[in-house]
Amino acid sequence: MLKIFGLRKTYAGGVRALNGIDLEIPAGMFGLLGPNGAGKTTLMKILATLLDPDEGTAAMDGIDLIGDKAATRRMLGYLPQDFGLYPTLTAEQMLDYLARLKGINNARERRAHLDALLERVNLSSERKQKLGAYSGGMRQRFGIAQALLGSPRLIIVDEPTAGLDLEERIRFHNLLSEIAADVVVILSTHIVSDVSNLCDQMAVIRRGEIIASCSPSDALDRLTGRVWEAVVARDRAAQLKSQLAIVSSQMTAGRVKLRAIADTCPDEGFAPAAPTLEDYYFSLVNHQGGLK
Amino acid sequence: MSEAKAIIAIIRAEMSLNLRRVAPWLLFILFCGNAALWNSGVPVNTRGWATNSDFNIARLMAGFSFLTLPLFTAMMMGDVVIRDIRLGVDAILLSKPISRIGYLTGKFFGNFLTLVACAFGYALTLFLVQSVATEGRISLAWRTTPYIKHFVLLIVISQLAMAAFCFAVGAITRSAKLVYGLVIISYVLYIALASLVGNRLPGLESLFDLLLLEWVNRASRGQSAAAINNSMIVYDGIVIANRLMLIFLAAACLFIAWLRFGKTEKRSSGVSHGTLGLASPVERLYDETGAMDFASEKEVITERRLVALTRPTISTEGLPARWSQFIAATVVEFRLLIAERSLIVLAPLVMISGGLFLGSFSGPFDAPLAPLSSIYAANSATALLITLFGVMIFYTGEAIDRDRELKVEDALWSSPAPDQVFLLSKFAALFALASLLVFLSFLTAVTGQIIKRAAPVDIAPYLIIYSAILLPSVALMIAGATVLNVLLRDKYLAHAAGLALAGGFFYLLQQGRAGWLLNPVLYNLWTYSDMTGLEPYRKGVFLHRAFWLAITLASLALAHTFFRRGATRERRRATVIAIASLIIAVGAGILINNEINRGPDSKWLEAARIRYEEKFASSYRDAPQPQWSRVDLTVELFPSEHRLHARGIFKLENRTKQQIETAFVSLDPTFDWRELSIDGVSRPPRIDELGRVFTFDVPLQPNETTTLRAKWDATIPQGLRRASSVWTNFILEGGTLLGGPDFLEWLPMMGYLSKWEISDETVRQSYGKAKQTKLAETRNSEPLPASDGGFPVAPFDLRVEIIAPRDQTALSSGRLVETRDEGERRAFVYETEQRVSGLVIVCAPYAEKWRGDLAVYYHPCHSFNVDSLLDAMEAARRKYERDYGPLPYRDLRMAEFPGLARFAISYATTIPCSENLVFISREDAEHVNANYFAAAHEIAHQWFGHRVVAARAAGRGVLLEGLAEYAAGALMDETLGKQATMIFRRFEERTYLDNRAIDGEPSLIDVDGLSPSDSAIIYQKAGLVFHMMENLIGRERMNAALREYVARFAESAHPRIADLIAILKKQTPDGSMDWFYDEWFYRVTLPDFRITAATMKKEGNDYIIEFSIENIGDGSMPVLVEAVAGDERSASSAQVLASQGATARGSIRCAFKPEQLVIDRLHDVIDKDRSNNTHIF
Repeated sequence: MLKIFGLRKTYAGGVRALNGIDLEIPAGMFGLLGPNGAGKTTLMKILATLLDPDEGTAAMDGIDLIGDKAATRRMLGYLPQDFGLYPTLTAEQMLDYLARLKGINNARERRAHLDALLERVNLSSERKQKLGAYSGGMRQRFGIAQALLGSPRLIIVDEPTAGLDLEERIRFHNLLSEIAADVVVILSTHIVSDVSNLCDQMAVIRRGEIIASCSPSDALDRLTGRVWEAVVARDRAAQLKSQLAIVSSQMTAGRVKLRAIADTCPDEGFAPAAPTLEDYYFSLVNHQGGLK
Repeated sequence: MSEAKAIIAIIRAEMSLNLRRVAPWLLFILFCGNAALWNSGVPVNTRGWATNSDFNIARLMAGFSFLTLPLFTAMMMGDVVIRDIRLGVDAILLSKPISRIGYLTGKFFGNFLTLVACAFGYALTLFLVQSVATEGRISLAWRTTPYIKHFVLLIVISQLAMAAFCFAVGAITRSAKLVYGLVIISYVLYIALASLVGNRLPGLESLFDLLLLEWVNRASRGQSAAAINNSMIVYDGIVIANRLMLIFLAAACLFIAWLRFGKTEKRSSGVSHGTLGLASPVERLYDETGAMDFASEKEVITERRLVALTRPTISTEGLPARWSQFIAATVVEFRLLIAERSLIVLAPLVMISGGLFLGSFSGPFDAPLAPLSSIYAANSATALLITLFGVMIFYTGEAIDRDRELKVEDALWSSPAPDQVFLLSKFAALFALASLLVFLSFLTAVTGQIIKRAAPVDIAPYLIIYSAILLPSVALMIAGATVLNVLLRDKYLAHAAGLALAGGFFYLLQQGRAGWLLNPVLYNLWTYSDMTGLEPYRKGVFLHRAFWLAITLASLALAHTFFRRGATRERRRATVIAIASLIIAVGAGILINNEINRGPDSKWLEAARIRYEEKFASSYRDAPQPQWSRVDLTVELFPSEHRLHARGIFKLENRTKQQIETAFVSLDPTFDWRELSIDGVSRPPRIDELGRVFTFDVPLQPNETTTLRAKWDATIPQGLRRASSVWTNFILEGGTLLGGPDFLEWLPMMGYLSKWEISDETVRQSYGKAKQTKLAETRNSEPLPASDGGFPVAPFDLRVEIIAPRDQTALSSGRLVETRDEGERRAFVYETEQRVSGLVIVCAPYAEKWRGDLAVYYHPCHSFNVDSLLDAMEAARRKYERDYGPLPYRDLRMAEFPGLARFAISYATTIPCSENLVFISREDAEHVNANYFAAAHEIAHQWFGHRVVAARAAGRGVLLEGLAEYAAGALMDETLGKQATMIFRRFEERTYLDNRAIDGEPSLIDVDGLSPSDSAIIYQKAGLVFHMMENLIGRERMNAALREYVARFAESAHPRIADLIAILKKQTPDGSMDWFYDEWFYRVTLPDFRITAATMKKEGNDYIIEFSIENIGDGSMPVLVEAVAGDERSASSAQVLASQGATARGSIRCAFKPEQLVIDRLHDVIDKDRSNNTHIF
């Protein structure tokens, strides 16, 4: 269990990135949702020991993530949001390097571990290829492989599926699900479907604060019978947006599909709809007061 | 029109962006500071150059162009396009309606104008400083035009070419480091080009002096400060061509960049080189084909059985784990460094700069040096130091910045590796890269040695110099660059700061303030010699390295303290290490300081010399003193301790016609004079640090004798060598020399030593002393003073016993009469058969080669010139005895001493000669035969110096050095042939013309040797004048005159130059040569011949050449005009008298078809300008 309490971080320019984050993250996949600039990456960097918070604590299995960086790094696997590779090294060379940094010193063990990891991310046949020649998907897979080095107990993946095509995303989801059985995996993303597909627990962060923390199924339960959908003309859509709690609008065949949250049918033309996690997420981040 | 507007928009945007960057402002401030510093420096104040003289302005501008601009231009212009590509701005800009030419033009001029603006700060500061009055500064009337003119011509145009080059290389290759490296190496290439072209294309030197540094400095040579301050720097045709060539070069670079820079980048070939290579990943199009074959992958996914992930053993604590991490990181860093494609270009250039050019470095008399390991190692170390400084400062910035630029940092820093793994691995990898480059240079140098096959390859000098001098300096540079990059967090700032720091050290060095503690790379503080290795500096180098190693460690620890990733605990530890290192550094610094202070420094010596003059000049400068008539000396040498123990009995004789009441003995103040007494003196002497004054109980009457007894200990040298000092006396394991020509005498010298007085007017002024007064001239019938500056003193008998380590051979004046072993030591006893003037001791583990009574003592590895030296000695002795009279000494020996200074000095029978003067020169057909010449010159001094000791009077140097120079030339003419002698005289003429004082050259009669430019008159001009005279009166008559001169003055009276002229005149009693003496001895004459017209016509089988020549210089010397065929086998000639200002006509009939008409082909007559001496048909 990863316990985060009162994390605050304000950057030198005065930007308040985190404003008292409290979270308890159990073993398994944990989704951290939030719009761009919400503070997700700051929180991830703090947990990955790359940034010091101004205040607050974070601990897991008795290890102080803020104070004992060395111990934290030993149990950590981190896939940064925007990461690069040494283009002149091969995948094998770079992964070997990172493995040694992780402390996997036994050469035979290391080799077996790297073989398995490259196999899992489907890069075995490209292991001798220089990383500079890797495609975006291959780079991302490599990133995942390096995050899994040493079988970490805390895995932080920051926007991992950005740039991946559907096939790669599926592969990635499968992989994460498999390894998340007894470790803490924090998946930071703004792609709601990733969380809905993978995570047992989730939290939504906005402007440096956690505004919701629950399981995806709980989130859906909260919206059951309260989501309404209508397809209307553009003029009408603009009018309805100003009058109702519209959580999303989407163009479809020249008209606008609106989804609203209300205990009763909000207006003529609306019909009940099955709630999705997007409804939940948008209702939280688009409306100051959140769910009522 | 829209294109022009777009270009202007880009220029404005670039300038606006640059205004917001720190680096240009930093450059501006640095340049302003640079101007203030250089303008207040020593050269201006001590040489009397006015701050705002045309020459000084040009000098400072050219110096700035050379020292400062290239590196900063590379920094500003090298990555202009690369930056756009890295930031992804290029795609946005190039997607707009602007051509690639427009884009590049805008980028170039936007940044170039910024650079010019920064450099303008330098010119502006110089301009303003002219009004600042400080002590010692000379300013002419306020002026503006020279600043603008020289700024544009010497800075802007040079900068334009350099900027275009850097911009083009950066735009085409996308490698900033390649730009930096090329610029660094351009220094070596510039120097090599200037020296190579300078030697081969006389008259065109300025064309290839790309930054015009040498051209400007040449304008000051041989001119007094007053002449320089009133002169104008004129841009002649060659220099204008030089500037046009640079503008053309800039245009060519930009044109190539335009051609090569594609708007649409080519698809990558698959193997990428990354941002550290030639193209950044941003530019690359990822090849998605294959890798993104969804259908096939899906199959794989469904069919493949997933491999289970095992949990490996993890260990991050303890030394083995840390070591493993460190090694892994270092290996990766090194792989990344050597994967850089910029190295493909840089490595060969480093090898060239460190290795291949070494063969062309010249030694004395411009003669090439033998390819000795020590020469190659020492020269390559200096070249590599400059090159590696540049390469490492830029590579370190890139290496430190790389992880952030490539966005690898987060992944790496979240791993459980301590900070030092990341920082130290970069340091170690960079050091390994530097070592690799050094190794490549070593291989190049060794290959060069093997190819030339003139000397054995000896690995030891390379190992010693590289490991003691080069690599620790490189480590320091990398550590310094690392800490700057960590602290400033901006590689550009770090580059600028690093360069500024290096510039600061260099400035201090130039100002004479860079002693051991302020000279991190030991620049100019060591000299490697095969005889001594680094032994004289061993202790100093060790302490220095310890001091700077501690600074290196402190820098690295400081880098850890401020490393952004650093955890508090690690930072604390790093801080402790930094503090501890600094404490060690301070300790080492104190030790070095103490060591330095053990010996006298130049300031102390200066003050001592002033004290000496103040205390004793008035009483003893011209006072009669007893002189040595016999010396019995025992000297025990302890080379490993640099120490001697001596005892001597000096028989003193009053050779004057007056009685002497007090005897003054000058003493080296740093020696331990344990016993000093004179018989007949019962009262205690007046004791001073610089001498003793003994008052005789009864005055010493003329011809009366007494005895001086002395015992003393001395350590020579003491302390460490200063940057500006040269050791000329030393007791070292590799070799001892006692008798070198410097201030410190090692014997108790009788009387006042006029040479201890400081002659430099500026130094004298700083001590409130008036200009040095000339010494009273002696008449030729009078004896010389007892000690007139060491060489020569009045003749005396000598018996000297030298006790040295058994593996060494000791030499002194006279003949070896006894050797005996005393345990591990050996005693050598020398006695003179004839009185000698001067006493020298040389001692070293010599090899020796004899030919009759002639011998050469040399370092066992320096055997290649020994036969040539013996040939020269044999020929010289034979000729001089035949032509100038017999020599009373049987033995003649030349002995090598360690090359800590470059000189040879002729003592009776024994001629110590510096290792780096003749023993390592290489003989070839194109240069002066330095070995032969040096032997011939020094042996000539046995006649002109020892047999005949000239009177103390103006022109004395002519009688010593001029005659020796002439005799050596005459010998070479007889034995080596016309061509070799022509090369020698060409060198002599050039040396004279380059160094003469244009506005105040003394005549041969008047030259007194007090001015630094007098040397060229005494040696080169005098030698050439005697040669011209020989050509006019014939060698026989010349020899007869000199024979009479030696016979008349040997061992009796001391001649003046007028005495020699009188003897010479006797050879032409009809007065037909009187004009010559008038022109060349009593006046300053400098002919300048040129061909004004030449025609050729055929008459039968012959060709008739008709020509006219003019002497636009002075004098009325006859000169030979020759018609020469291409192979120079056949030439016809006519002698024409071309009197001053007159035109002379002549004709030549040739039986062959001539190709050229040449005035004075063999350099028999001094000619101011030979560029107009040839007419080609």
